[in-house]
Amino acid sequence: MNALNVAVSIIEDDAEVRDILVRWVNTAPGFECSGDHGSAESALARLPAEKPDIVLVDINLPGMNGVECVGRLKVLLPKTQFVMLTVYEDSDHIFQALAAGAIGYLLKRTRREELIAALEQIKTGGSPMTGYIARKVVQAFQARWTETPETRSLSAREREVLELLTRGHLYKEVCDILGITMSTVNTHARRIYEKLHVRSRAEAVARYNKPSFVSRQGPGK
Amino acid sequence: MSLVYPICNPSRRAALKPAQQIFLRSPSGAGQTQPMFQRPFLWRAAPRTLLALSLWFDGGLLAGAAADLPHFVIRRWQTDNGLPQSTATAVVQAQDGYLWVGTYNGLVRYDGVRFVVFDNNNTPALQDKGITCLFEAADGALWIGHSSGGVTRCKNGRFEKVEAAISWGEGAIRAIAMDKAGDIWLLNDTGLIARLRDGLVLSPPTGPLAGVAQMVSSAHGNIWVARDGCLSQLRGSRLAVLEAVDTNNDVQGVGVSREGGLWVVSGGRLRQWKNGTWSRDFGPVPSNLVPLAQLLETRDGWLAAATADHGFFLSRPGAAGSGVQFSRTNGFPSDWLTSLCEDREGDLWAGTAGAGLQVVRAAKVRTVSPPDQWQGRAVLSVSASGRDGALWIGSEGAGLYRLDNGAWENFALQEGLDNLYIWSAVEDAAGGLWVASWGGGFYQRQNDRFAPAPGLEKLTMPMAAILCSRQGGLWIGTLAGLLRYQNGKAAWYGQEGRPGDRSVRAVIEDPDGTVWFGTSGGGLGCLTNGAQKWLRRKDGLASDYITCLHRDGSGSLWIGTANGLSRLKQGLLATIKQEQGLPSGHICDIEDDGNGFFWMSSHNGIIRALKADLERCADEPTNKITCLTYGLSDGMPTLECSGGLPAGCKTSDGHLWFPTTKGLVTLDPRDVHTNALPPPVVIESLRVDEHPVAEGAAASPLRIPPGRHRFEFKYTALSFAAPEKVRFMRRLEGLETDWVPAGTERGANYIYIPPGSYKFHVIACNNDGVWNQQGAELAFTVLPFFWQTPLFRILAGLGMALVVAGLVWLGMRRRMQAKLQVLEHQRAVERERVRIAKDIHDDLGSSLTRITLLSESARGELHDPARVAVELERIFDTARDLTRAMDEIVWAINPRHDTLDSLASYLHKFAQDYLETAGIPCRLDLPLDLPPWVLSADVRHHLFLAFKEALHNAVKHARASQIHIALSLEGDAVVLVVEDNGTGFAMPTSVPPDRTGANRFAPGNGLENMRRRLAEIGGRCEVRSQVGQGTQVRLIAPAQAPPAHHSYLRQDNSPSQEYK
Repeated sequence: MNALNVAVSIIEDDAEVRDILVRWVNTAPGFECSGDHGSAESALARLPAEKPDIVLVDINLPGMNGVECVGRLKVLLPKTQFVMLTVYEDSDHIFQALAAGAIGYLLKRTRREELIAALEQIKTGGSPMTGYIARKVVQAFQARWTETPETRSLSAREREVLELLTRGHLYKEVCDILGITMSTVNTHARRIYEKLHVRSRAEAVARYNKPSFVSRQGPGK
Repeated sequence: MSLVYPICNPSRRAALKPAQQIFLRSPSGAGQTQPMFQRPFLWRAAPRTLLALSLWFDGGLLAGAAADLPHFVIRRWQTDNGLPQSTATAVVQAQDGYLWVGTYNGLVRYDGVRFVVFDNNNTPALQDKGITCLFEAADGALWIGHSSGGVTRCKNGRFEKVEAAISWGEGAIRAIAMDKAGDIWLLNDTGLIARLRDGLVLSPPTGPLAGVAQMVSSAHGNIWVARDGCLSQLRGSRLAVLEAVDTNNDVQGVGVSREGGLWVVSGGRLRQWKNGTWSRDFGPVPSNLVPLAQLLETRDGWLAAATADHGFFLSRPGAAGSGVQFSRTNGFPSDWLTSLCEDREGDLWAGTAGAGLQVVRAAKVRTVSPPDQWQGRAVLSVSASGRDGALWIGSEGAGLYRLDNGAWENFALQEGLDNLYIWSAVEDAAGGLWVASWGGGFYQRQNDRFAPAPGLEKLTMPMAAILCSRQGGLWIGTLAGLLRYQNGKAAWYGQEGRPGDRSVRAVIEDPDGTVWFGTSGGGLGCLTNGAQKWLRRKDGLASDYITCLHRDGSGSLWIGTANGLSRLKQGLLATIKQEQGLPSGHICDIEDDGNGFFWMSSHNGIIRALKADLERCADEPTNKITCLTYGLSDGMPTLECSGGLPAGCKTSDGHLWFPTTKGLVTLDPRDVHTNALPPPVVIESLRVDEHPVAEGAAASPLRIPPGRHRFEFKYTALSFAAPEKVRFMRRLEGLETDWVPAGTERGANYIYIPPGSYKFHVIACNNDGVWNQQGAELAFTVLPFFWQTPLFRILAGLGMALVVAGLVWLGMRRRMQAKLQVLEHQRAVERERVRIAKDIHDDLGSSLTRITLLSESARGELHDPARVAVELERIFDTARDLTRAMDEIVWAINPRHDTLDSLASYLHKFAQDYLETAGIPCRLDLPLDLPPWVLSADVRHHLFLAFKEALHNAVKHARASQIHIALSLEGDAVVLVVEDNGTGFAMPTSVPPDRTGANRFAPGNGLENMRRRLAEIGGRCEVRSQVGQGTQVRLIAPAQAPPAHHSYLRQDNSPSQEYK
C-alpha cells in the first residue's frame, strides 16, 4: 500500500456495487481501497485497525444502518472523513448522517469521474453542502436546544455562509458575495458540520442522562 | 227466620219434655217437685226455690243461657262492649238494617260487631247527648228525641237539627209518631203532645192511673195516646177519647196490632181494640197492674210487654199457659226495661236501664243441667239406657248422673264410686251398668251401689271407653291397651307396640266381630280373629289421635280425630280437612240423625253436615262442604265439646245429647230453622291515607287524587242472628277478577291502586250461609298524575319513538358516513395506486425499455467502440433518470414526507439540482419554520410535478437567466411561486388561458398540465406574464392542519431522531 495514497474503505451491502466502487477507487490515482465491508457490524469490528482516511458508507445497510454506523465509527476514528452513499436523496437520512459525523454524501448514480472528483475534493479539505442541507442545518441550530456554548454555536461568518446557501447560492457565488476563497467556504462548511456533529452528540448524551420523561426516546436507545 | 219459642208451643211440648220440666230431686229421692212454668200469668210469684242462676260469660259478650231460661239465648252488651252508657233508652232497627240504640250518652249505631257512637261532639247536629226516643218514619228518616226536648232528624246518613217552636218547656221527648198527613207529633215528659210543624200543643185527657205516658202510631198513621190510664186517638188536630168508658180509665199500656187496631192492657186484662170497639178480651195478663213501657207484637203473634220494674213478659194472646217472664229472678240481667224491638231475623232486642242492651232469641241448643250444676265440673260422656231411655252422664270430678224423665240422680262416693272422673258409663243389654273411671278402676252397678267389676278389682289404670260386645261381655279401652272382659275374665289386646298404641280412646265392633279401636297417638287398630293390624297417619289417616268411631249404614267407618275426619270405605282411607269447609278439626263424636245428616260434636261447637256432602268431600279432596254449626249464638254454653265414650247419644224421642265442658246440651235434629234472610250489605266508609273520602251514601263515582295511597274499606252486613258467622267476599273490580274470600273481616285494605276506574263489591252471607249476592258496591276513580294519563303516555311514547328514530337515523348516518369515508379512502387509495402504477408504467417502464433496447443495440455495435460508448452513455443517462424518477415516486408516496417542511426540502433540493445543471442561478425563499401541516401524497405529487413543469418552462421556454422560488402560506393554502426573468408571453384576455394561452405559453400542454394538477388537488394555478417581463407562476394548494394522531409525523430536526 502506498503510504501517500488516500486510504478509502467502503461499507456497502450490495457486493456488485461494492466491487465496482472498490475498482473505481483503486483505479483512481492517489486513492486506494483499504478495505470493503458488507455490513456495519463487520466495519465496526475491523475499521479501527484499518484506520482509513475516507469511508464510503451506504446509508441503507441491513442490521445497523449507515447513520448509526457513522455515529459509532466517528467516535472511534475522529480523523476519518465519512461520506454517505445513497440511492435516493432522502434529506432526512442524509442530514441525520451528517449530524452523526458524515461530511457529505454521494448518490450512487454518480458518474465515476464525479465520484473521484468528490473524493479529491474531500482529500483537499472540501466540504460540500447543498442548499437544502444548509437549510436543515440552520433549522437544527435554531431548534429548541438552548444550551449553546461557544463550541457549539455558529460564528457570524458561518451563519452568513449558511444563509447564502439556504437561499440557493452555490459555493462559487458565496465566494463572490462574501469575498472569500473557495477553501474558506469549505472550511466554514466543515466547521459547521463539526459543530453540528458535536451538537448532536451532546444532545444525544444529554438525552441519555436525562430522565426518560423528558426524552421521547428514552435511555438506551 | 222467625222467632220460635218451643217452650211455649203446645205442639212441641212432647218433644221438649225432658228439658222443659225440670225437677229437683231431693236427697232422699222422693218426688218433691214443682213444675217451673206451671202457673201462667202468675209470674210475679215465680218459684223462689230455684237455685241461684249460674251464668257463663264468654269473652264478655255473652250473658249465656240462664239456667231458668234454658230455651233462650240471651246476649248482653254493656259499656265494656262498646256501648257509651249502660242505659239503652230506645232501640230501633232501621230499614237499612242497622240497629240504632239511644243512650243518655249518645246515639249508637250497631251492625252486630261494631258500635258507632254519634254525639254532639262528633255530630254537631245532635243537640245533646241525651237520647230519649227513636222513631223511624216510613220514608226511612230516623227521628231522634232528646232529653233536652230537642229533635234531630237523620236521613241518608246525614244528621239535621229540627227547629221546633213548641212552647212547652224543656221536658224530654218520650215518643215520636207520624200522622196520616205526614206530620210529626211529639210526646213529652208531662204527657203533652205537640205537632212539630206548627207547635200545636194538645193535652191528652187523663185518668186515675198515674205514670202512664205512651204514644203509638200504626203503619197507616193512626196515632193513639195513653195518658195516666186514659187512651185517646188523634184525629186531625184534636184528640178523641176512646168511647169505652168503663174500661178506659186504667189503661196500663197500648201497642199496635199487626192485624189493625190496638192491643190494650187495662185493668190487668189484655184486650184488642178494633174498629171502634173491643174486638176480643184475652183475659188477665201476667203483668197485672204494672204500667207498661212498651207493648210489642212480634211477627209470630206473640206479645212482649216491657215494664219498668218487673222485666218483660212474653206470651201468646189466648194461649193459656204460654208465657214467660224475663227478670232478674230467672237470669235476665235487669228488671227495668225501657224499650223493645224485634229485628228482621226475629230476635228480640231489649233496652234496659243500667244493664245495657240485650238480645233474646230462641235457643237451638238447650243446655240441661242437674240441680247441682255439675258442681261446676265438665261433662264427659252421655249414654242412653236401652230399657227406659234414661241418660247416664259421666262428669269430670262430680261422679255419675242419671236423668230419667226430668229427674236427676247423682252417684258419687256415697254410692261406692271411689273415683269421680267418669269417662264412660254404659248399660248392657241385660241392664247391667258398667262405669269406667280415670284411674279409679272399673265399676259395676249393683242395685243402687257401685262396686269394682269382678276380676278387675286390681285394675286402676285410666279407662276411657266401654263397648258392649255383640258376643256378650265388654270391650274396655284403657291407657294400657284394649281389654276383653267377659264373665269375670279379662284378656288384653294391643299391649305390644308403641306406648301411643296402648292408649285406647274409642272402640267399635262390626257385626262380624271385628273390633276397631282408636288410640291417642297410635292410629287405628283392627282386631280380626285375634290378629291385629294398624292404620296410621302414614296410611292416610287424618291423625294418629283418634277421638271417636262411627260405622254408618253403608258400611263405611268414619273416624273422628284431633285433626280432621277420615273415612274408611272398602279398605280405602280418605280424609276431610278443615280446608274443605269442615268447621272443626277436632271431632268428639259423630251421630247420625237418620235423615241423612251427621251431627258431630267438636271443639268448635256442634256441626251438622249432610252425609252425602261428606262422602263427596272424601271422594274428591277439592270438593267443599258447607255445614251448619251451632255455637254460642245458638245456645251452646261453650264451643268445646267433650270426648269421653260415648260422647253423644240419641234418645228415643229423636233428640241428640252431647257433653260439653260446660254442661250437657241437647238438640232436636228435626227442628232446624235456618236463617233464610240474606243480610243487607253496607260499605260504610272508604278512607284514603287516613282521610275519610266516603261515609255512608256517597256521591259516586268518587275521585281520588293521584299518588300512592292506602285504601281502607269498611263494610258490614246487617245480620244479628250470629254476627260472628257472617262471612264476606269482596272484589275490587278493575284490579281483581275473582272474588276474594274475606272471612269474617269487615274491612279491607289496599296499599296501592294504580290510576283507573274501580268498583268495590262486597257480598255477605248470614250465619247459615245464605248469601246476599247483590251485596254493595262503591265506584271510584283513582286519578292519574299527568304523566300517567293516556294522552301523556301517547305523547311520551311518540317522543320516545322520535328520539329512538333520531338516534337510529344518526347512527345510520354515522355508519353511512363511516362507510362513505371508507369508500372514499378506498377510492383515494385506489386512485393513488392507479397513479403510482401509471407513473411506474410511464416513467420506469419506458426508461427500462429504452435501456433494454440500448443494451441490445450496443451489443450489435461492439465492433465500433465509439458507437458503443455513445450507446452506453445513453444507457447511463436513462438509468440515472430512472433512479431520479424512482426517487421522486418514492418521495411522493412515502407518508413520512407528508409534511410541508419535507416538501420544502424536496423542492429546494430539486430546484438546486435542476437549475445548477441548467446553469441558471436561483434564489429561494423557503421559510425555515413551517407549520406541521399535512400534505397528502397526492397533493405533494401534483404540486411537485406542477412545480417541475414551471421550472421546466422557465428553463426551456422562457430562457430565463434567474429564477426566484418562494414558498409562503396564505390562510390554509400553500403558495408556491416560481418567477423568472425570461421572455414572458402575452396573457390572453378573452379566451380562458387554459385553452389558448397555455398552448402558446407551453408547447405540449405545460400550463394546462399545471392547472389540471392543481385543480385535481383542490388548488389553483395563477400565471402572470408579459412579453419581455418574465413570468410568474403561482401554485396555490390547500393544506390541512394535522389531526392529533398525525403529530408524530412532525419533522423533528434533531439528529438523534434516527437513533431508533
